[in-house]
Amino acid sequence: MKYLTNKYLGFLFAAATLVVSCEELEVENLNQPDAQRALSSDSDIISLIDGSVTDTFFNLINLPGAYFNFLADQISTTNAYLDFWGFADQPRRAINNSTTNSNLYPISSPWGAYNQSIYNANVVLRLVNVDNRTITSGGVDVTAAKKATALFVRGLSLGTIGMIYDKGYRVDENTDLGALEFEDYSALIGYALTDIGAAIDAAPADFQFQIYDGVTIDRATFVKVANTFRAKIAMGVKRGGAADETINYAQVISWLDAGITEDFNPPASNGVLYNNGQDWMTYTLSDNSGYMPVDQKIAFLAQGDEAVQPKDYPTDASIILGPVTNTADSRFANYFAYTTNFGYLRESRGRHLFSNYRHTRFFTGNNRNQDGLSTNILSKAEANYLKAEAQLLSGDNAGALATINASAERAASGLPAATNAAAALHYEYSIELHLNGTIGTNHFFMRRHNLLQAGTPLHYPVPAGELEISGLDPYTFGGPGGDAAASGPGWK
Amino acid sequence: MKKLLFMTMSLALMAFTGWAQKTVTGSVLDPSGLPLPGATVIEQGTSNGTTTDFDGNFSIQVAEGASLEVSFVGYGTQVVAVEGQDNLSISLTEGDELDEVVVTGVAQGTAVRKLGFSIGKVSNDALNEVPAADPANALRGKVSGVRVVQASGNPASAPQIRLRGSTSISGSQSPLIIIDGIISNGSLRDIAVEDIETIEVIKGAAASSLYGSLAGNGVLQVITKKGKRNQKARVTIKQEVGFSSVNGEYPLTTKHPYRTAALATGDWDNDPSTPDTSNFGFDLTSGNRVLDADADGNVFFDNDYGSTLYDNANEIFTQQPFENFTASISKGGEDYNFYGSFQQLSQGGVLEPVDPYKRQSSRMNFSVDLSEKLKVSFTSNYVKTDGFNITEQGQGANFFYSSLIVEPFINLKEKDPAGYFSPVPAGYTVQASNFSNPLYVADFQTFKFRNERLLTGVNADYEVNDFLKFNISQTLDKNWSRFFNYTPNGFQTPTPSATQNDGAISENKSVSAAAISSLAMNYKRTFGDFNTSLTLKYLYENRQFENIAGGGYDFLAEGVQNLENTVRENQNVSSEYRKEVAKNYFANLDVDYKDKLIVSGLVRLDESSLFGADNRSRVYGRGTMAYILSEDFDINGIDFLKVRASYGTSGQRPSWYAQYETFSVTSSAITPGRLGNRNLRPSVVAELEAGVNVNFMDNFKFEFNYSNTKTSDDFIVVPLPGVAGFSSQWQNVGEIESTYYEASLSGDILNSDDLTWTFNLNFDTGTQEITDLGSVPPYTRTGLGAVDIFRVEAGKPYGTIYGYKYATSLDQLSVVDGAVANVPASGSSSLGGAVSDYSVNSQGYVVRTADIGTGAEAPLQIYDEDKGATAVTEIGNTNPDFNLGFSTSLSYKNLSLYVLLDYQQGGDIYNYTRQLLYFNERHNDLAIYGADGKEQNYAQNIYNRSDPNSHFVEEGTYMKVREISLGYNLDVDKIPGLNQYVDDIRFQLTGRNLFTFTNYSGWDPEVAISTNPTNFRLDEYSYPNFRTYSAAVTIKF
Repeated sequence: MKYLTNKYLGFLFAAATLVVSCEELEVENLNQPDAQRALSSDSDIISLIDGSVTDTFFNLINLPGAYFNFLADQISTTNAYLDFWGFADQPRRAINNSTTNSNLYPISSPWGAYNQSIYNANVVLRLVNVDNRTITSGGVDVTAAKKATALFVRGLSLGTIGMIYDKGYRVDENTDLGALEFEDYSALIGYALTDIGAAIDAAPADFQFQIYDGVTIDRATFVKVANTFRAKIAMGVKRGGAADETINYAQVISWLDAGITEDFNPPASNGVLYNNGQDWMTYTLSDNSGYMPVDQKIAFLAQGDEAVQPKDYPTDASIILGPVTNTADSRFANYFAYTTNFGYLRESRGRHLFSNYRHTRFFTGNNRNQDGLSTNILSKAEANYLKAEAQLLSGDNAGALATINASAERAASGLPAATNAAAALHYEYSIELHLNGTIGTNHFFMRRHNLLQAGTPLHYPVPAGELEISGLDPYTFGGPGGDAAASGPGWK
Repeated sequence: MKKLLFMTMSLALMAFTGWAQKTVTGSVLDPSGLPLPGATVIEQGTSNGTTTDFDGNFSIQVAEGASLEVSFVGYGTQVVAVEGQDNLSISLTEGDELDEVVVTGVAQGTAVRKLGFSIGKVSNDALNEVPAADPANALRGKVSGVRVVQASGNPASAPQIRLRGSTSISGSQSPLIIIDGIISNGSLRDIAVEDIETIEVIKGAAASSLYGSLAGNGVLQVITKKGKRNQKARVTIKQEVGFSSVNGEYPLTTKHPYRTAALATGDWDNDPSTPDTSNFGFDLTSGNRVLDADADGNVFFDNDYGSTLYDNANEIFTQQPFENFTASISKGGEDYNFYGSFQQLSQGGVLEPVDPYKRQSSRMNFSVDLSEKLKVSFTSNYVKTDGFNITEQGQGANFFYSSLIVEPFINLKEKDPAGYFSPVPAGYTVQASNFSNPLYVADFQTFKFRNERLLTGVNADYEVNDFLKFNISQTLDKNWSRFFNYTPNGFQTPTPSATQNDGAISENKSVSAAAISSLAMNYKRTFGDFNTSLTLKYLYENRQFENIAGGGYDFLAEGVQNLENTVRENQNVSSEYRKEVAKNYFANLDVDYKDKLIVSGLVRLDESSLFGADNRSRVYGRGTMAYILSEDFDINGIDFLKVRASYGTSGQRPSWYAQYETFSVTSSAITPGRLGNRNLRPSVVAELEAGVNVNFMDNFKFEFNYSNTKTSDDFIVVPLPGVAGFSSQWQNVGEIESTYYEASLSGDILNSDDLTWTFNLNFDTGTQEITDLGSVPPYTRTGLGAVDIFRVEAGKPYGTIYGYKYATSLDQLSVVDGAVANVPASGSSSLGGAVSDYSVNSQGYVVRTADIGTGAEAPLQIYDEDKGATAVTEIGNTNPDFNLGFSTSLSYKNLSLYVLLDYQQGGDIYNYTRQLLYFNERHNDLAIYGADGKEQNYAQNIYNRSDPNSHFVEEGTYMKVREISLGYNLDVDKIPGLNQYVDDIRFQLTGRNLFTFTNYSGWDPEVAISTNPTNFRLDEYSYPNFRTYSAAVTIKF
């Protein structure tokens, strides 16, 4: 063991090896980019804002829309999963806006999603408007196009927050996030309309608005879509709340006249953009009952005879309603199917919530997340009905009826010409626009006309988690006699 | 250079050999007169020493007038004056634990008597009483201030260890695990208990400062067997077989509220395409079961089932085998010793259709003196585990959910024509629930995991001279894991599943490694009455983690189990790589005066890549002082008395991702994730510990500890406003404080040649509180389970449960504007009226008197008059009032009995399992309410739409008989023939986790969220703990 005589050298060598082999403390996160890497190039900026377009549209047709359909009596359930039952129950409950509620998803998800889109838009607008950065793609200056896109994303997101919540933050590229104040829904919607208008103005002549990679619309189509959203958002002010709910109906009609002439219905792309709301709401159980069955209201409206199809399902356990027997509307049989199976509906939670109908329209084998399926973001029918409603609310009843009766789906339905615009609109929203449009379409219409059943929240409170961050106490809406609750009796 | 070295060493040698020398021989014996091979014999005051040979003999050259210091592990040290004798016979007495050397928390091996802080030590004897399946369970009840919680009975899940109070809000609560000096990166569960020599536990920051930012929660070190010097080869074989079974029965009901009918009354599903089917005794004429309402419309939960009843819970939770085989060999020579072992463990748990948890472990420990000055040791442990990756919590295919939810007219063991358990057993659609038959799932799907782990280390000590020693070591803890899930085509789900019905596969592979190098210098010298020891150390850590995972669904070909056998569009992959680099430096100085006044100081600098880029280092330190009073004061009956105090800091490192700003990048978008923090630092856990150790009446030992711990710079996720873009940021804003008191008493009650009776009693109690959250408002932890109940708020204990509180007294009602404002459970608005309209019902809740006996009867919830809303308030606290552990060992001749009791007082549990069983109409409470005249909706009102409420908070007090073991040592010497081949044979009957005495209504009060079972005690359909009975035989050759 001669080498042991060199033990000192051995130890020194080992020690030196130990020290020299030590790496530096700077360790990069190679799994996720930071801002520097995520937004270092123009292509990243473009990806940020184009991705926000996709996300915003996806959020408009995502699961949270189901909750507004419960509140609007479009669908029913007694399933407490994700608090579905809490929004379908009767008498209406106040929203459980508490930090102890593990199912705050219905109200916290839209809040987070649309504010996220606003943030992304402001990142781009700050670069363009504050930092005067030029954004190029393939050597072409796309600054104006991306500015228009960002303004549209911000306007659409802010407008949706204004339609869903009682208040929110208005944040633009110059806002000091340390000094935020809530503004009411009317103000938010005002800002949103300004942004969408600015987006139209900023869109260059060769504008290609990307829905997602591979699917774009040209400037003319974009303007139509933007105008229709402007009209829809502007109408969202009216709800019987506390803010200024003045609507310039003439302007709404002018926007709709310059709006879409055919459905805005980009094809679904697996995992990118698809109608997840429809995916849940059309879900059919193995016994052919609906996971979220069609609310009895639809059968009542189709039958037109409360003795045959009552407004609520009979609580007498011995009664099982038969199918709708007297409707001239050919759409009804195409959109809905009758079943005697009640699936997950639980009698102990209220038989009045039962239904014998499930969805067949938009049902594609319990999977809407497939390439090429419809997304149904904005239909021409909805644009027509928005115009008719604006006409009605501005005193032009004849114009409203004409618009309704001229609408393609209504005209082809087999129904006689409408003579009561308000009733016809409620019917068309309930049948034609059911699952066909963005979050809250039916609820927002019904609150404008006090059609929501008593106690239904008119809008959502700011989520408790967000209030908690700001050191504010949670508050809530809805429930019989509660704040911001429909006074009733509504459609019932 | 060599010449200079030789001269230096020669001079040093001369300095030590300047006196007349003589050779002394002798033998070292144990108390029974048997020779002790490997005992250490040292000339007192020098480093001159030797060890005894196989026959316990030694020979040593010593100076005239010298004294010999003779010691052996487990025995006391004897000092014998040579006084002209040439041959000595030295008998060692049973060891004094005060002289045992500990290596955890100290810069170098230190006798227990000279420690300035508390240390818990579990000896080999205690471990041998009832060797548990894992080291953590072996700690139970043996050290005060240590809580071991087996939150799940899953045989593959490791129990969690907690030392004193919580030191972090978001970080880990688990101590640092060290195995033979290897700073580990994984579970303690992989270590075979039979391999363990001792376990050392240091419970707080005052003691664990040596490990800096790794050890905010204390340190636990396992020291495995090494073999003894000069020992002939010894082979030990142990075979243990037994079985496990679930404890007790769950309180499920056999009543229901539905309208009944004669059995098999016709085609109940109204579907002419299906044959007539039994109606299971329900009236199914309307297609579904209907509630059995009386003339007033009220329904009572008191109907009996009309068909055959199946006890599905008991059918599923069946006795399963337990088997543990261990073989080991140890041997030692003059300059080496080694220990090798192999163990194979199989634990079936209590679920028949799932594969048992299996562990195979092999170990090799080896030490060799390459020269008088250079000593090298090597340790290696390879462990392979595999088993069933079982699902707990949640619904669907969860065994524990399904077995409790299913109504008794359904037989989950029904087989389909193919011989599989049926996915839709008869009656499944009648109940119309969302559970999957777990037996079918286990039968049809593959859920398995496999782990391989290598723990290895090499250590070298070089003694330059009597004063100076260098140490270098390199350790590695590397783990390979694989999770595999295969769902064949045709798999049936309660609702159609696009991602499962046509087949699915997923695989997840990870490799983690912690490679740690250290270099240390120890300088030890005596100056007069002062003994000093200085240690300088450098520690370099390199930790890496890589993961790759993939999955897909829709198989292209039957039976092919790889990812490419799925439709390409349905495939997904992910990968991850993380690395941590840390450099740590420390200096420690120990000084004592005449072995009785001990002072120690430590400074440690930690640098880690986990700290924010602008804050890459942090300093920790410790100061301790101890005074052995019994050295100066002779107190009647007191054998040893030490007072001590220590103040030190340690901490916790942030998680790997915490400091980084992150964006999520997908093929379609870039979105912000978490905001980075370049100033993120490790937390600082500062602890003051004071205590006293007393040995008295030659038989008893008592220890008392007081500790006060304050954590600052605790890092927590601070949620950001929705408009911030980023969802949250880690910030050093939390502070948490705890105070603990611990006491332990042990000793011999009887001690004679044939009969010994010993006991060990441990007690601890403490409080903890979040003291500051900086700018973060109070919040409720989310995502831990089905209900969000755990409150994080300054001034509240960590473990506070929040929810709705039901009034139990009329005094609790609030009258606003002349009317009662309290809202009933499940209600949306108050019922108004005067207080006189309300009363306390037979279940102790305040309800509206007029509603009693109707479906509207519901407890009123406490109202917050300031907020004008139903109060969300404190409804429980998971922290126990105190813990008590008691063990006793009785041996008479060759027979021994060991009993371990474990008591916990207080500590609330939120029983969500019970709450969901209300909703599913399966809990026996509903039958009790029915018998009490409550309408069936009363229970649903208490359920309160699944919102957390005080009704489901239960006290978790329990007394457990953890272990009973009866052993018998065969008197091999008296059996001719056998004694030529066998040294020892021991038979043992053991029961573990035998009985639980508690008022808790669930399976077991030892239940919680597995990630943090001490703070988050939530019962949500987890694997129940089980008892095990076994018989073992141990043979030593």
